[in-house]
Amino acid sequence: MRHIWITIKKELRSIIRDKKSLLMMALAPLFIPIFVILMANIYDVMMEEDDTVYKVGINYNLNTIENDIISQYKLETIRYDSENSLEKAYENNEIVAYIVKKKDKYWVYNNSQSEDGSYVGAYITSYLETYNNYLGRLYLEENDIDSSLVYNNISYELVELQGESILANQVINMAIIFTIMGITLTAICAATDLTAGEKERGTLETLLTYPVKSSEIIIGKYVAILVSTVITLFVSIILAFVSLWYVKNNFLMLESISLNFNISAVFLTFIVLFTYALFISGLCIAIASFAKSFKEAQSMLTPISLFICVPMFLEMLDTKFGIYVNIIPILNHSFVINDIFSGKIDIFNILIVIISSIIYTCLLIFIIIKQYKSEKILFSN
Amino acid sequence: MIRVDKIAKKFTKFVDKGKKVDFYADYDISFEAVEGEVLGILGPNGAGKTTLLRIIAGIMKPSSGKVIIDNLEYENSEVKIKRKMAFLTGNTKLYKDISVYELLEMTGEYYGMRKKDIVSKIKYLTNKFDMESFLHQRIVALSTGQVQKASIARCLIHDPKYYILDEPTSGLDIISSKTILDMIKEEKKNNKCILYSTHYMEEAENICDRVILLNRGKIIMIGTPDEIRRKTKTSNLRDAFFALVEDE
Repeated sequence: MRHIWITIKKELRSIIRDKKSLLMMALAPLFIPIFVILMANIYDVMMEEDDTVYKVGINYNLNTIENDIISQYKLETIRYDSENSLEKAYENNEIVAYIVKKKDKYWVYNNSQSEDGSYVGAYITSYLETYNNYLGRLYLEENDIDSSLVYNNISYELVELQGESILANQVINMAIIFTIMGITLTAICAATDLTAGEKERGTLETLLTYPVKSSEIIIGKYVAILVSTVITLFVSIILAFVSLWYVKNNFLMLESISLNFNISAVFLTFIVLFTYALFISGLCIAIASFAKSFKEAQSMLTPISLFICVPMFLEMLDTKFGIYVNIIPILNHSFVINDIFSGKIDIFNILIVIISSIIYTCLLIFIIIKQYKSEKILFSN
Repeated sequence: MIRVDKIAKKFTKFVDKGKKVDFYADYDISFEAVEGEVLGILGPNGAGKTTLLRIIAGIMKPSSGKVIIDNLEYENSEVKIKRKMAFLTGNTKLYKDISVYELLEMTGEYYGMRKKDIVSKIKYLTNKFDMESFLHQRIVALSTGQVQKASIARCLIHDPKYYILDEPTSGLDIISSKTILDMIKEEKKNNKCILYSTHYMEEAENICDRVILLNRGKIIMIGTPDEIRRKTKTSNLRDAFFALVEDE
C-alpha cells in the first residue's frame, strides 16, 4: 500500500508538472460551454419566425378573394403576360416559382428540391386548396345547401405540449459527449505519458529496480490517471450544468423542455461519470502499456477518442435501442446521463451501467497487472 | 554474497520474411561475488553483459538457472533482495520534472526508509557530492555532470549492500567518470559488493578485484587481472581478451 501511495504521488506530480497533461485536463471541458451555446444558438435561429416573402409569377389576374387568401401566406404575386415571360423571369431568379392558369386548371411550376421551392410549393398548394374550398362553399350556398354540413363535420385545434425535443436532446447530448470526451482525452494523455512515455524516457527500468512489485507500480499509475480524470470530470460537470442552465433560460428551443437540475440528478450524473472514469482509465492504461513508444500509444488510443462520438451521432439519428445497450461501455454512460438530464431517471438502468463498468474495470486492472510482469511489455523497445 | 548458478537467457528475434530465430544472450553463466569485492564483467557489445546484470538486478527473468543473493531467491523474496541493491547504468534516465531532492526523497521512500533518515542521508549526500547549488532544481535543468551526481546519490541513499553498475562511465567525461570510480573505491572499502560492467579494459584492470570475460553470452575466463594476464601470457586485459577470442 505504501509503495502504491508513493507511485501515485510520483505520477500525479509528473502529470501536474506536465503542461500538456494540464492543458488537456482544462482545455477539453472548456469546449462544453462553447459548443453547447453555439449549437443552441444555431437551433434557436432555425426555429425563429421566418419573415421571408416569396415572389411567385402568375399569368392571370387575381380576384379579391384570391388576393385575400394569398395575403395569408408568405407569397407576393407578380403578373406576367405570357408563359414565356414567366419562364424567363424564373430563369433570371426574379421569381421562385410560377403559376400558369389555363381555363380552370392551374399549373404550378416549382423546384420542390430547392430550399425556397419546398416552402413555396406548400404555400401555393395551401392557397389553391383554400380557394377551391371557397368556391365549393359558394356553390353550396348558391344552391341553398348548408356548407357547414359538408365542411365542418369535425373540428380540431393544435395544442403544444412540453416534453422531448430532438433539437434540445442534441444540445444536451453535446454537453454529455464533451464531458465524456474531456474525461477520455485526459485518460489518454495521462495513460500514454505514464506508461509508454515512461518506457520511452528510460525511467521505467530504474523504477523496476526499486523494491516494489509491478502490480503496485501499475495500480499506482492507474489511480494517478483516475485522479486526473476525476479532476476533469468535476470541471466538466460544473460547466455542463451551467451551460445547459444558461441555454435553457436564454434560448427559445430549450424553454419548453424539462431539464433536471436538482441535487439527485447532479449526484447520479457524477456517479455514472465516475464509473466511466474508472473504466476509461483502465482501458487506456491497458492499451498504452502494450505500446513500444509514445507515438505508438497515441495511435493505439486514437480509435477510443473517435468511438466516443458514436452516441452523439446515434442521438442525432434518434435511434432506439434495447436494454442490452446498458452493458456497452461509453454508449451506456452517454444514454443514461442523457436520461438523467432529461428527468427520466431509471434506477435499474443506472445500476446496470454502474455494475457493468465496475466489472469491466476489475477485468482491465487484472489484465494490466498480468501484462505488466511480462518482459515483452517492459523491454519491447 | 551473490551466487549466479547456470544462468541462461534465451531470446527470439525475427529475421527475414517473419522467420523466428532463437538465440542465447547468456548461456551457462555461473560465478559468485562476495562482500568487499569489485567484480568486473567485460566484453564487447552483444556479449550479454546487460542481460546478465538485468537478471541479477531482478528486472529480467532467466530462461534457466537462478540468482541467489544472501540465500534469497527472486521467486519468493523479490522485494527483500531489491532492498539490498542499487542499479546504475550509463543509460539510466532520471525523472526530469522533479528536483534532485524529490528524486532522493522518493527513492528513500521506495526503499522503506524513515522520513528522518531520508532527510539526514540527503544532507550527507548533498555535502559529499557538492549538490547544494542544484538540490532543488528540476533534473531537466541540470548539466550532464550534475545529473550523474544525482544518479549516484540515488544509488547510495538507502546504503545498499550490492551495487550493479552497467557501463556507468560510458559516454561520460573524465571528471564525471572519476566521481563514479571514486564512489566504487569508497564503497569497496565499506565492504560492499560491486558488479561492474564496462567496455574500458584499462579501467577494469585498475578497479576490479576479479574479472569475468564474456563473449557471445558465455564466460571465456574468470579470475583476477593478474591471473588472466598470466594464463593468457599477455600484458593487459585487452590483449588477453583477443587471445582468448582467437583460441575459441
